[in-house]
Amino acid sequence: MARRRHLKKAPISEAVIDLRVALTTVADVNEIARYVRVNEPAYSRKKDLWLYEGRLEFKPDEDPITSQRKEHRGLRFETEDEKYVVQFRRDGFTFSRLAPYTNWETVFAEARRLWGRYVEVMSPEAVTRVAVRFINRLSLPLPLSLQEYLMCAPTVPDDVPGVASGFVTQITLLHEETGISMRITQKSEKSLEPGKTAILLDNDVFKVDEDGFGTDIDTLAGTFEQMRDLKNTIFFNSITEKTAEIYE
Amino acid sequence: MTFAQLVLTSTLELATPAEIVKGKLPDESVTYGLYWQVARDLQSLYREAQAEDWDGEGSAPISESSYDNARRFLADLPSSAPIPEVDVDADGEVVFEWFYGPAKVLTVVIGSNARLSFARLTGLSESHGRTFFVDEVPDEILRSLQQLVS
Repeated sequence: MARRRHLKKAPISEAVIDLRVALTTVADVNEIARYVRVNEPAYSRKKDLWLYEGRLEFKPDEDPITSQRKEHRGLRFETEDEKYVVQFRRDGFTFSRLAPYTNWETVFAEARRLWGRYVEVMSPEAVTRVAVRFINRLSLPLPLSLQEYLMCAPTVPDDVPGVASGFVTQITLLHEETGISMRITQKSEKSLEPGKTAILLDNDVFKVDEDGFGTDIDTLAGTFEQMRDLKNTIFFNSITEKTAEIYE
Repeated sequence: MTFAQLVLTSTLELATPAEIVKGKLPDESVTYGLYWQVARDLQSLYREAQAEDWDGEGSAPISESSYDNARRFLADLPSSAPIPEVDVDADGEVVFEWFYGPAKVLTVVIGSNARLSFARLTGLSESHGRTFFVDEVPDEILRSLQQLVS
């Protein structure tokens, strides 16, 4: 495993802070757009978010019934440089910082600030799920031995011939002490850069409370710190020192 | 004999492995969320373009195999790839377009027999060609995408 430390060139492709809420009586999307335009002019790029749903019903002695539905989920706003993205949706709030990552304090402060805006315009009844998700993209030279870069690279039985051309692994763990869950995904994918491949380390750390957390994010500060710490534990235990040194 | 009422609700048809690993449905991250937005746009187009002359301009419908090939192509794009616009041409083939300005455009057309046609404009350089999409996005398309974003 890699020694835990600050990596100047951390391979963080996207840092996500996500809060799901109990469905609310929703403000009109035009009102949401107006509110953000007035109060957060830096988030000037707007996009609609849609939900498409198809239903197929079977009833005795009747032909199958099909129906389709298109529903406005909310709005997505981003800054002109496309580095900060925030979603105001009926079912929750998502804040993303895209590469290059800055630091936790800056990212969380901005998320916290925009959450306050979300509460003001959307009036959520309760928060049902909180999450910290960091998607890391390792860009590695070909050919490579996965074991040189990953602590838990997938293995193949010795007598099975062939060369790996792709993989995906996913496991979900429960940290019983805190009730926080961790979904750890490792996935290879092609790179746009010649001679390289990419490995995504997608670490999604979340906590659910069906009774609802309060909507005051300050009361959740401790939970977010715990999730952040677990996220770091996962990352540094997933990579080798060789990998960490690439990103120092 | 009574039958239980069965209601299936899904935002997409059966997912391929590549689609599954792009995350849960829907995915709120930017990394995968934009992919799902385009996937939904594609699905919506497929539903609209089911009949002959579906657009009133004599266009052919999208076949199920064209849709399936297009969906798998989209799922196999790396998450670092820019997000395309999606449309249907008059032959009922799916068109993916990346438009980075008047001098940087990539168009990929996918039909029912997994044949893939592409045309690329980057600055003063133009190229086009045909290949096949089986399970993976061809390297030539990946190189073209890299040229777009570089």
